[in-house]
Amino acid sequence: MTLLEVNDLSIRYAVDDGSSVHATDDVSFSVERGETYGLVGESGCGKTTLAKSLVHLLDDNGYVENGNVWFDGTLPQWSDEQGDATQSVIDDPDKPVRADGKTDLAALTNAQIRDIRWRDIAIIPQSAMNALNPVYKVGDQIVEAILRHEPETTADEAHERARDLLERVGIEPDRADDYAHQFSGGMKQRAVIAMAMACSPDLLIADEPTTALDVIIQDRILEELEKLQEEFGVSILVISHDISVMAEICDRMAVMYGGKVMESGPKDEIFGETANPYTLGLKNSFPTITSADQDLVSIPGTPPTLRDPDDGCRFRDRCPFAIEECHASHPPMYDVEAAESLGRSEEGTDERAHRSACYRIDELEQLRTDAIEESTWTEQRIESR
Amino acid sequence: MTRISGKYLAKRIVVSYLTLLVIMSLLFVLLRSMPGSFITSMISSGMTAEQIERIRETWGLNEPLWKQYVQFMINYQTGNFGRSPTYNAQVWDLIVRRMPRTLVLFGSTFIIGFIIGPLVGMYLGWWRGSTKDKSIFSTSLLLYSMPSFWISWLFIWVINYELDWLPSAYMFTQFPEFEWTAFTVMRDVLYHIALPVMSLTFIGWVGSMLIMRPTMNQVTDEGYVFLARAKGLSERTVMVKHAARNALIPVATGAVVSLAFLIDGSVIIENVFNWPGMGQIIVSAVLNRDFPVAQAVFFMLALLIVVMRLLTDVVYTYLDPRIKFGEGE
Amino acid sequence: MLDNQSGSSRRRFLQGTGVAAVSAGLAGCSGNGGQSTETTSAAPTTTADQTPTERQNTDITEGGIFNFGMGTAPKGINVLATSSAYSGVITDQIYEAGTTIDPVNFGVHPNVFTDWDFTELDETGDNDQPNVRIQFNVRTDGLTWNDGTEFTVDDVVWSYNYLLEQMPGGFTASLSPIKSVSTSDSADWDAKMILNKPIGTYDSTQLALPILPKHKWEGVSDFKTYEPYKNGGPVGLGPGVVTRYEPDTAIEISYADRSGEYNLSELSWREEIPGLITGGPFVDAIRIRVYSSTSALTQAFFEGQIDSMYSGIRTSRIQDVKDAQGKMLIDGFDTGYGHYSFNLRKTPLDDATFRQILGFAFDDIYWTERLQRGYAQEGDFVMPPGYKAVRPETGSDQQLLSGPSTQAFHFRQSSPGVPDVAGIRKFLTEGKVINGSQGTFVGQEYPGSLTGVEGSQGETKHQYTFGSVQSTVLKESDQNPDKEIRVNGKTITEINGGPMTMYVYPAKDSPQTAKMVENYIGALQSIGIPINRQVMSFNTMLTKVYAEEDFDIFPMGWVNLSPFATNTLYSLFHSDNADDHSVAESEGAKKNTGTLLNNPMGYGLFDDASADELISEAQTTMDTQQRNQVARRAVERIYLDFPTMVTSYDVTKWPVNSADWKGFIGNIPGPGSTYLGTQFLQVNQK
Repeated sequence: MTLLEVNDLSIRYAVDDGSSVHATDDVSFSVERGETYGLVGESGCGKTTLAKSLVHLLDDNGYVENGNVWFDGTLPQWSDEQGDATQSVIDDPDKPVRADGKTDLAALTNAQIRDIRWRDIAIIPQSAMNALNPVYKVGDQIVEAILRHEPETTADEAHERARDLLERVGIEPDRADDYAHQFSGGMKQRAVIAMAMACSPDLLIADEPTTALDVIIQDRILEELEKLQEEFGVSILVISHDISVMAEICDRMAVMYGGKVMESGPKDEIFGETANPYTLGLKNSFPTITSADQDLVSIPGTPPTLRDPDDGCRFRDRCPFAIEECHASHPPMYDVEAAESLGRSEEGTDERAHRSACYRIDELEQLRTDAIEESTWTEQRIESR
Repeated sequence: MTRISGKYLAKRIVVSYLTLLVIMSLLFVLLRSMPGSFITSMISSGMTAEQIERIRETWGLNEPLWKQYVQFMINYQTGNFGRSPTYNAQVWDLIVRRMPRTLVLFGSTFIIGFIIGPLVGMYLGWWRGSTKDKSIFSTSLLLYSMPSFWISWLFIWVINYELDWLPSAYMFTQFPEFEWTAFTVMRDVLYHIALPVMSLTFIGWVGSMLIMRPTMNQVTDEGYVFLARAKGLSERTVMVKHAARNALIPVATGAVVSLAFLIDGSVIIENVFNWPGMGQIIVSAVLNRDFPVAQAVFFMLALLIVVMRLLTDVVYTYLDPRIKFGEGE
Repeated sequence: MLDNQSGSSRRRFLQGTGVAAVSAGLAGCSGNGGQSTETTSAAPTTTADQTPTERQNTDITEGGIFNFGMGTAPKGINVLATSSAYSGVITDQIYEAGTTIDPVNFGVHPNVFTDWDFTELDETGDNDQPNVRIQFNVRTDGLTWNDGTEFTVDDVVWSYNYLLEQMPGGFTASLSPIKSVSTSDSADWDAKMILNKPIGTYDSTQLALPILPKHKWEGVSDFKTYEPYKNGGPVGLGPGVVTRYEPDTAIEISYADRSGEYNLSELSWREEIPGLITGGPFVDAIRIRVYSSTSALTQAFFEGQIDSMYSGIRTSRIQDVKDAQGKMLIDGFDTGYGHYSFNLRKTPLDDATFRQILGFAFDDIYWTERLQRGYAQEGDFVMPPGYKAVRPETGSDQQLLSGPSTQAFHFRQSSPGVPDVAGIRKFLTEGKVINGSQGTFVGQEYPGSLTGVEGSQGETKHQYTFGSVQSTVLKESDQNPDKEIRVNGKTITEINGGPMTMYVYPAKDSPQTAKMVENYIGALQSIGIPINRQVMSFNTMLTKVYAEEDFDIFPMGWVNLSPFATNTLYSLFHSDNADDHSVAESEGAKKNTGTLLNNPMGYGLFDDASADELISEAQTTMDTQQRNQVARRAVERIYLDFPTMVTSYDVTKWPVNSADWKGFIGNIPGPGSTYLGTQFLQVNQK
C-alpha cells in the first residue's frame, strides 16, 4: 500500500534578481508502507530540498511551484478513530484530501503541517550531531516532542517513554538526564533516531544518516535503522550522496541529478542493470560491495547551477554519451524493461518500475561497456574544452 | 543548577579581592596626583599654624604619603571608609543614603532594558532582513546615536513641562501631604521614577538588542532550530525556547559591560533628573578633592562590577550547561 | 538671628559669579569693628540707590509656606562642624548669638544679650597687651530653647566653655583671644568674659558666637561627629525648628511648630532701622528644595516651584525676571570684590610704580559695561561700596565710587578702548608713584588721598627704559609693540628667565574673565611688557597661588567680607598671613608653609609695601569711630600700594515671587545670601 506519492513536484528558490533556482523539476516517486526508499545524487541535486519540502521545512525563499505530495494520513482533526480521513473531509472540496483518504501535504497551511511533522513524518536532519539543543537535557527534548503531539500523555509517562526509546537505540536510559555535549557523535545520532521514533511516525526521513561518522559507526547506524523498520514497520526515506549506503539499505531508489530524477526503480535493478549514464558515473566514483578492487573514477565537471535552466538534458554537459537530441529537451522517463527486452524507447508509466531518463536507452549495452573505461570520462572532458 | 565548585568560587573571590586591592591602590595614587587638597576649604585666615597643623592631623594629612596609603588600605579592609570633609559626614552614611537610590533607578533601568533589548533583538534577529527588521533596526541605531541627556531633556520638556504628567526630579515628593505607608511610598517612588526610567530605557535597550540580534540570527541556522521545527513545534516555541535561549549567552556578557556604562551615565542622568544618588556626588567629590568620598564611591563601583562579574559566571552556567567553572582543577 | 557674616566663618568657593569669575570666600573674617551707626549721609552713587527699602506695609497676614531653592545641598546642620553657606541658611534659623548686626547700618544690637560693657584691666596678657574684661547680661525672659526647654545664664556660660574646650576650626579666630567665660560676681552683670588683648570688634565677634543648649550638647565629646537631627535637634534659641531634613532634596524649617517663647524679633532697636519689620517670622514654614544644577534651580523659579533662591540670579536671566509677571528683583550689594593680585616678591612687581601702571592698563569700561552688562561696579578699594563706614570716601566730600580720589588707577586711554601707551611709558620712565599727594598722572588729575594717608613707597625703586623688542612673546604678539621695557637695563624676560605669567581659568568655566584677561594682556603687551597667560582650573590655581605662592598675577574674588574691615584687612593684607619666602630659604622650611594663606601677594612683608601697623592699630582700637577712621586709612594705604587691583564689585539681583509675597528688604549686601535670615523673618503673604 502506498504511503507517499509524490507527483510532478517542482520546487523553486526565489533569487533576489527575480530569477529562480529550479531545485527540483517534476519529480515523481512513491514510497510503500514498510519500505526503505533511497534518494541518491551529488550534493546540490535537490534531494534534501525534496525531503524538506514534504513537511514544509524549506528555507524562507523556497516554495512549491507545482505538484502534489499525497500522504496516507491526515490531520488529527480530520481523522476518525482509526486515523483515516472522515468521509465529510473527503467530500469537502476545500480540504486537500482525496477519495482514497490521502492528503496532499503540499496544500496544507503551515499551522496544519505542524501536526503532520514528527507525528506522521519524522526527519533526521543532515547534521544530526548538531541537532540536539545544547542547553536542554536529551531526555527533555524527546519528551518535548511526545508532549507536543500527544498532549494527553503525562510528563512522567513521556519521560518513561523517552528512556525506553533511548534504550532501544542502545543508550543507557539514565543518560536521558545528560546534555548533548556529554554524548559521543554516534550517541547523538542514535539519540536523534530515538527521538524520531518518539511518536511512531509512518515515515522517517533520514537525511545523510551516516555522513561525518566513521565507517564502523556508519554500519551500526544503518543496522539501527533497519532494526527500527522491522520493529515499528516504519517507512524510511533515506537521502545520501553515497550510493554504497543505498546499496546496503534501500528497497527501491531514485537517482537524482540537477533537480531531476534520472533513474528510479528497485535497488537491485538499478545496480544490476544500470540504465543511465549518470548512475553509471556515480557508481564509478564509489567503492561498491560488488567490485572491491575497482578503480574509482569521478565524473568530471561540476553540477549545474539550476538557475533558470534551459530545456536540454540536465546531465548533458558532463555526459560522455550526449547526442544532438540531448540539447533539445530533457529526456522523459523510459521504461528500462521495455528498452532492454524490446529495444524500444517507451515512456514508463509505472512509477514503481525501473525507469531511466536517457535518449540512448536503446543502446544500454554499449553505454555500460564504455562507462567502465576511465578514458571515456576523462577524454570527454578534454574534448569539451 | 549552578555548576560552580566551591573551590573555584573561593579562588574567584580571592582574585576579585586582589583586583579590588589593585584598584584601590590605583585610586589612591590617581586621586593624590591631582593638584589641590580638600584642606583648602577648611583653613581660615585667623588660624595659627598650630591650628592648621591640627586640622591636617585630624585628616591624617601630616603623615607621609606611604603611611597614609597603608592606613587607607587597613581602613578599607575593616570597613572604615572615613569621614567626608566636604559633606561633613561619615562616608558610610553617605553611601547608605545614596547608594540605594542609584540602585533603584539604574537597577530598574537595567532590568527593563535587558528585558526589552533581548526581546526586540530576538524578533529582529529571527526576522532579519524583513521590512520590520530594517525599519526598527535603523530607528534604534538612530536612537542609539543620541546622547542620553538630550533624550532626557526631551522627555522632561514634553512629559513634564508641556503635559505635566510626571515629575522630572527627586525620588520622593519633597513635602508630602499624604501619610507614609509602604503603599504610598511605593506609589510615590513609582510616580517619580517613571520619567527617568522611561527616558533612560528609551535608548537603553538598544545596546543589548545589538548583541542579541546577530547571535539570534546565527542560531537560526543551527541544527537544533531545524529539528525543533521538524518536531512540529510552533514558530514561537522554536524562537523563544530553542533559539533565543542559546542566543542569550553573549547578552549576559554584554550586561556586565553595559553596567559600567550605566554608571558612567549616572553622573549625567542623576544631575538632569535631580536624583540624589551616587552619580551626583562623584564629580563634586573629585573636584573638591574629597578623597574619602571619591575613594569610597569608586570603590563601591569597582565592587559592584566585580560582584556582577561573579554573578554572570553563575548565570552563564545556568544559560549554558556546557560551561563549567572549576571542574577538574 | 545668627547672621551669616557676624558670628560664622563660612568660607565659600563660588565659581562663575558675576564679577569675580571665581570667588574664594574668606573664613574668619568676621568683623572686628563696632557700631557704625554714624554712616548715614553718603551720597548715592550713579549705579544704585543705597537707601534701604522703606517698610511697605504694616498690615501683615500671617501663615503660608515660603518655598526656597538652593543649587547646592547643605553640608550638614551641625553648626560647629559645617562651614557651608548653604548649611547656614538652615542653622541661622535655629541658633542665636548674644549680639546681632543689622544689614542696613551694620550696627551691633542686643539679641540674646541685653547689654554689655568692657574694661581694660591692669594686668597684661602674654602678648604684652592689656587683658580686657567684658561683662554682659543675658535675656532669659520671653526666650526659651526651640524645644521648649527653659533658657538660663548657665546655658550661655556652659556653651562658651564648650566652644573653648572644643575649638571648632570655623570659630578659632574669634575664640582664641578668649581666656575665660564665667558667671559674674557683680550684681549688675550676669556673666563675664576675659580677653587676652583689646579687640575693638568684640561685640560683633566674641559676643556673636552661637549659643548651644547644654541639655543637648553636654556629653558630646567630639563635636565633629555629632548629628543634631538624629538627636532630636538641632536645638537652639532661634525662631525655627527643623521638621524635615533630607539634605540632598528637601528641608523644612517650621516656625509654627516651635515650642516655647521667641521674642528676639520684637526688640525695639529693629523699629529704628529703615526697612526692618518687627515681630516675625510671619510664615508657618520655610521649605527648602535642593536642585542639582543652577539651571534646574533657575527653571524651578520661573516655573513657580520656588518663591526665591539662594544668592542671586545669573546675569543672563535678569531680563527674564524683569519681564516675568509677579516676579521682581531685590537689589543688593557685593559683600566682597573681584581682583587681580600681584606677587610682590618678584621684580618688577616689587615696585609701586610698576604695579600702578598695571591699573592704568585695565579697561574698566570694557569689563563692567560690556562683559558684565552693567551688573558690576568699577572697583577701587578693598571694601565694597555697601560697607560705607570703612570706605575712605566717608568723612570726605567725594562721591562714593566715583570721586576723583577713587579713580587714581582708572583706565588711561588714548582713544576708546586703546591704552595710552605713550603716557603710561612716560609714567614709568619718569619713575612716578601715586603715593597720596596731589598731582596729574598720565593725563588725569589726582586730588590727593581722602584720609590723608600716604603710600608706603615714596619714589620709584627701579629705573625703567624702553628699547628694542627682544622677548619672543612680544615679537609674536598681535599688538606689535614698537618697544620693550627694560628694568635697570634688563628685559623682564632676562630677569625672571621668562616673560611674566597671568593665570586664568578655562574659557568654558568663566568666559567673561577669559575675555577680559585676553584684553588686559594685549594692553600690557602693547606697552612693551612681556606677559603671557596660563590656563588652569580653579583648584589648581588655588594651590599654585595660596599654598605655593608661585605666580605673577592671578584673578580671583572674595565674598562675605566683614563690614567692620579690621579682621578682613588682617587676614588678607597683614604679613602674619603671608609666607615670607626670604626667611624660609635661609632658616628652614618652618616659616614657608604649604598651607593656604590668604595673603599670597606677600603684602606687609616689605617695608615699602605694608599696612601692618595701621591694621594692628585698627584691630585693637576699642572706640568705634576711631577704629573706623584707622581702618579707612589702612584701606586707602592698600589702595595706593596696589598689591591687588580691585576690578569690580558685583551688583546682586535677588529674584523673588512678588505676586504672593512681600516684606523683602533691598539695597543691603547679600540680600539673598548674607542676610537671607533677615528676609525669612520678614517675608509675609500679600
